[in-house]
Amino acid sequence: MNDANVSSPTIPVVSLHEVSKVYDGQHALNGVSLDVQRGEFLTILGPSGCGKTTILRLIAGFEKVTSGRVYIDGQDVSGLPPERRNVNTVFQSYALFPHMNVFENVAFGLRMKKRTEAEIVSSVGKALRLVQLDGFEKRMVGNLSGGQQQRVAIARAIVNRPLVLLLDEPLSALDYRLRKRMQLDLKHLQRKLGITFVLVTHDQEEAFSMSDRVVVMNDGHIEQIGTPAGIYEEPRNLYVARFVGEINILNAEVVEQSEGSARVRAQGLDVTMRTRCAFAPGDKVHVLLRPEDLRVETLKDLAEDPELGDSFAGGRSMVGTVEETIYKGATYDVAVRLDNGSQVMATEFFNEDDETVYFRAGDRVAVSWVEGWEVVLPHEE
Amino acid sequence: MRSDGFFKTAVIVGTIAWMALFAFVPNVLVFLASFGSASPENFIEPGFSLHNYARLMDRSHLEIMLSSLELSGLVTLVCLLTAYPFAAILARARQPWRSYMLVLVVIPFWTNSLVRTYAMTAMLNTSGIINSVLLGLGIVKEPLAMMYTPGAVVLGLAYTLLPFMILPLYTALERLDRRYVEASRDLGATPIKTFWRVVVPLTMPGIVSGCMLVFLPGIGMFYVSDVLGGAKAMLLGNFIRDQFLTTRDWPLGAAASVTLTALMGVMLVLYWKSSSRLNAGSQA
Repeated sequence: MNDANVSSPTIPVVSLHEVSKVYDGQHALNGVSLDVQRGEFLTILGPSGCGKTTILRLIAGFEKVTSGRVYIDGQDVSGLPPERRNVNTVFQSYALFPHMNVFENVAFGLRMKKRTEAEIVSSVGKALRLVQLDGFEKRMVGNLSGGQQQRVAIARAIVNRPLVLLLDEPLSALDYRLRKRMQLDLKHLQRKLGITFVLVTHDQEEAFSMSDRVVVMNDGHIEQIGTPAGIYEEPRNLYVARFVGEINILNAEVVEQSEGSARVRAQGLDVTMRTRCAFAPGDKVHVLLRPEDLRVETLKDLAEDPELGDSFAGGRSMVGTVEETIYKGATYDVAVRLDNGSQVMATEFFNEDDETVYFRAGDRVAVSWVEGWEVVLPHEE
Repeated sequence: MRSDGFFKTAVIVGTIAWMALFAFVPNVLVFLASFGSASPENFIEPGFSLHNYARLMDRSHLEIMLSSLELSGLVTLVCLLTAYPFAAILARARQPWRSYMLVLVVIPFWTNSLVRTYAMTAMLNTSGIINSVLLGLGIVKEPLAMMYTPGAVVLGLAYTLLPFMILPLYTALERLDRRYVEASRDLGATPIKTFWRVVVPLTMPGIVSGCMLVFLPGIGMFYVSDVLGGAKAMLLGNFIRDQFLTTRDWPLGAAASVTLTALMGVMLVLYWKSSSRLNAGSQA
C-alpha cells in the first residue's frame, strides 16, 4: 500500500474546470470548478439532487460532461472510459459482485490488471487486514452484514491503490452507531494510506467529522469551499449557514461602517461587529448567531449580580420570555420569544455546580453572546 | 362463508381430478406400455420386460436420438445468440419503445404455430420469397434448395421458439443492477471483460431457463420437422409419433416417450440445482 502512485505533488489530483452537466434539459451541474489537493479528505456536502453524486460520476467516468473539462493528475480525461482512469469508487449500495466470494471481489481489480496470483493473494490479504476482515476470504458477500459489506467495498477499491478514492454516501445504509465508528475508521484509513478521498454526503456532521475540506453544494453549483470550522463559523451566505447546523438569524441595519467592522442596530441591539463585507449605512443585513454561542440569563439574576449585569449591558443583549426548554442529554435548548416577536434558540450546558440554572417557560431573560462570534451577511430575502 | 368454502373445495378437487385424468393416468399408461410388447390384435401385450429400452439402444434408434439432441442444441445456440443482444437492447430501451418491442416479441403467438410453420414454406420454397429475391438480384443463378434440409428445420424451430429465449433473458437483464457493470468498469474491466465476468454470470438463471424452454420443446416439435424437413424423421418427436401412428409399435414409442420425459426430468433437476445455488449467492 505504501508505494502509492508517484506523480507531481504540485498539480491538483483532480480538477474540474467550469463543468456543466445537463440531463433531459435539466442542469444537474452548472459551471462547477473545483480542485482536489493530493492526499486530502474532501467532502462534497449538499441535499439530494444538488449534483454532488454527478460530480463523483463525472470523475469516475460513468458520465460525460456537457461542457467543461475534468482533469485527473493533470491529464484531461474527457475521452477516457472508467476502466482507464486511476480512480476507484465505493458505491452507495456497495455493488459487491454477488456471484463471487469476498476474496474474488477484492481481487477483481488486480485480476483485470493481470497481476500474478502470488501478488494478488498478498495484496488482497493486506487490504482485508486493513479493513479488519481477514479470515472472511471464502464468505459469499450476500451472507455478510451491512458493515462488513461496506468494508469489503472499501477493500475492493483501495487494493488497486487508486490516485483518488471516490465514496458515494458510503455510510448512509448503516445504523447510527456503526456509522459513527465507520466515520472514524475511514478517517484513520485515509491518513494511513495517504490516498486522496472524495466523499459525498448529505450529513453535515459526517462531513465535518471526517474531512480536511468541505464543499457545500446547492442546486448544481458550489456555495462554499472551506475547512469544516471555516464553513461552520464563517458561512458565506444564509444557505450555507442554515445547511450546516442550527442558526439564529436576526435582521438588522448598518449604522456605520469602518475598516473590518460595522455598527449594526437591530431589535434593541446597537453593537459594533466585525465583518469582511463592505456595507454602506442604511444597508439591511443578517446577523447570524449559533445557538451554542448564545448566553441566556434571567433578568432576576442580572439584577442581583452586578458583575454579570455589566457583561450584558452596552446594547449587546435582547430581552425576551422563555417559551420552552428542550432536553438533549448533554445540553438543553432554550427557545426564547424576544419582545419584538422573533424567536431565538440557545443551547446551554448543564452546570454541575448550580442546579438552579435551568430555565422554565415564562422566565424573563436577557440573551447575549460572546463578542466576535457573530457573522454579518448582506440581506438576502 | 359456507358457499365460499364449497367453491374453494370444488375448484381444488376439479383441478386435481383434471390433472389426474388427463396428465397423471396417461403418463402411467405410457410408462406401463413401455414394458409391454407389440401385438397385432391389441396394440399392446402387457408384461414386464426391458426389451423396448434395449431396442432403443439400436444403432439406428440411437442415431435418431443423438441427431435430435444435436439439432435441438443447435436451435438453442441460434436462439441464445440471437436473443441475447435483442434482450439486452430491450432491457435498456426507454418507454414507450420497450413496450413496442415487447409487443413485437409476443405478436407471433397470436397466430397458430403450425400455420406459421406452413407460412415459412412460402419463404423457403424453390419459388419462394427468398429465392425470388436472390434470383432477381442475380446473386444466385439457380434457386437454392432450402426446403427439406436440416437447416430449414433449425430455422423453423428457432423462429418458433425464439420468444421463449427472449423473455427469460429480458427478465434477467432487466433485473441486473447497472451498478455491477459500473463497479466492474471502475475496477478496470473493459466492456468485453465486464460482459463475460459480470453480466453473463449474473444473468445465468435467465440463460439457463431460456435454454431449457427452447431445448426441451425443440426435441419434440415434430410438426416443424414434418413441414420443413420432409419425410425424414429428424426429431425424437417424429420418431415417437411414427411409432404410434405409422409403425404401430406402441411399446417402442412408449419407451422413447419415457426416455424423453426422463431426460427432461434430469435437466430440470440440474436447472433447479444450478438456479438455487445462484440464488443463494445473489441474496444480498
